[in-house]
Amino acid sequence: MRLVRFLRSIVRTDDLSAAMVLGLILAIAVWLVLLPVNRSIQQATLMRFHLQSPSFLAWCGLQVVPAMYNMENRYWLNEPIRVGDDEISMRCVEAGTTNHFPTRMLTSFDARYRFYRERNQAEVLLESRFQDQVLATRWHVEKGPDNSLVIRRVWGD
Amino acid sequence: MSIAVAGGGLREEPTFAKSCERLSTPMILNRIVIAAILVSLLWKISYFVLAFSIYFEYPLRDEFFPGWLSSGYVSLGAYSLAVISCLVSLFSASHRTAFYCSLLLAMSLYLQCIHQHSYNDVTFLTCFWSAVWSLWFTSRIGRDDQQTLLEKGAFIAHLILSAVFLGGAMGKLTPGYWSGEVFYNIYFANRDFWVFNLLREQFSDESLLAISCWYTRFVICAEFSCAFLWAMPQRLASWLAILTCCGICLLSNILLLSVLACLMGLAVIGLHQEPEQPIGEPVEIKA
Repeated sequence: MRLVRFLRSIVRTDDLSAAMVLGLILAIAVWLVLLPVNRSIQQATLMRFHLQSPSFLAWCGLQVVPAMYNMENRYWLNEPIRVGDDEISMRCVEAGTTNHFPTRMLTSFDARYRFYRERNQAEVLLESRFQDQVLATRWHVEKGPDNSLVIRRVWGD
Repeated sequence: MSIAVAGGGLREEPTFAKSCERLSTPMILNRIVIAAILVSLLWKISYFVLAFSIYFEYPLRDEFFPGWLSSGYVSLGAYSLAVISCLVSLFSASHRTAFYCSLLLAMSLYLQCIHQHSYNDVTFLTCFWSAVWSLWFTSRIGRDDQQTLLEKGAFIAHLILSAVFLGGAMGKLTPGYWSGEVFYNIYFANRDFWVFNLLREQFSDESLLAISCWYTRFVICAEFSCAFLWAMPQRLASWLAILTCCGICLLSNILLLSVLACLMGLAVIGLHQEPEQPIGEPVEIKA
């Protein structure tokens, strides 16, 4: 068996770096295998997708875990419209599905370009779902100084 | 091609092909992986050029990323460093130089994985893991005998490929994918690609949803099969990985070659077989 031959050759050649790579991949595999059954891992993955990990360092650690086309990710782009003299309401102008990282609807170059060119401010609702776990976050986007865009999370649960 | 040298006479100019002839098998295999990473990085070059120009013109301020990881200069620098590391590694015959290039490559690609501009692009993640393989592999050239190194190299390559496919499969075990709804929305409803254009011409929306359902289940099963590449015979595992990567590109999105080219490079490692000793070769028998 290849695994046994590999382990024997690691020991025989005293290959610590191969053992480290094996350990890292094994840890990732355990994390992935537990994803469908462990709520904490599901929550951590959903929070990773929404840039809501408890710390930036934790998020950086999770970024090496493969996650191609993971979770059900949706977005709604809402624009403020005036409905009365003093009343402003939000109207959904676009909605869709993304393959992974729904926050790309805020940070990617095409999203930035469209925000900047087409509107002064907007709200974006992002939702990711894995089995019965749901994470929704609402973001406010507005133009800042020097051609910049400012994004701010309004709420998230 | 010959060039004149000081003191008269001609000297053969080193060419890429000639330098390959002098290289050991492990160095050639490393070059294949590095070349595949380079293809991955350059496949969407026009997309990246446009993206960088917009990132510089419209910076984004947010609370999550540290300032330096939102900087266009850092992103552009990391991308350029990755490409340059690949090029230097490709034209270097020294395994020590190749090791340092792989180290720089892995670092710059990880930086892309955590940068505000590129964190969502899986291209950099698969390239990062391929660079990790190259980093380990070049660190062992000259320390392991060739047969052992190639065997270990193929196994680690298959382990990495298995982890990538496992990630794809596990994250899809949710009703939205299983029913075909997610792929329907992403691909079948309006993606401009030959397969989906053809299907839209031929079938109603209801039929498309049913096709999407079976397409998704087939993708999940294929990814699950590839999660066990490490347990399969070496050459079978490599061919299956290459076939799956080609299938994904041709049946969903050709731009995905940026994600998959480096993985195909890794898979090629398992296809190499050391030539067997010719029959009839004199064998020294010790008394």
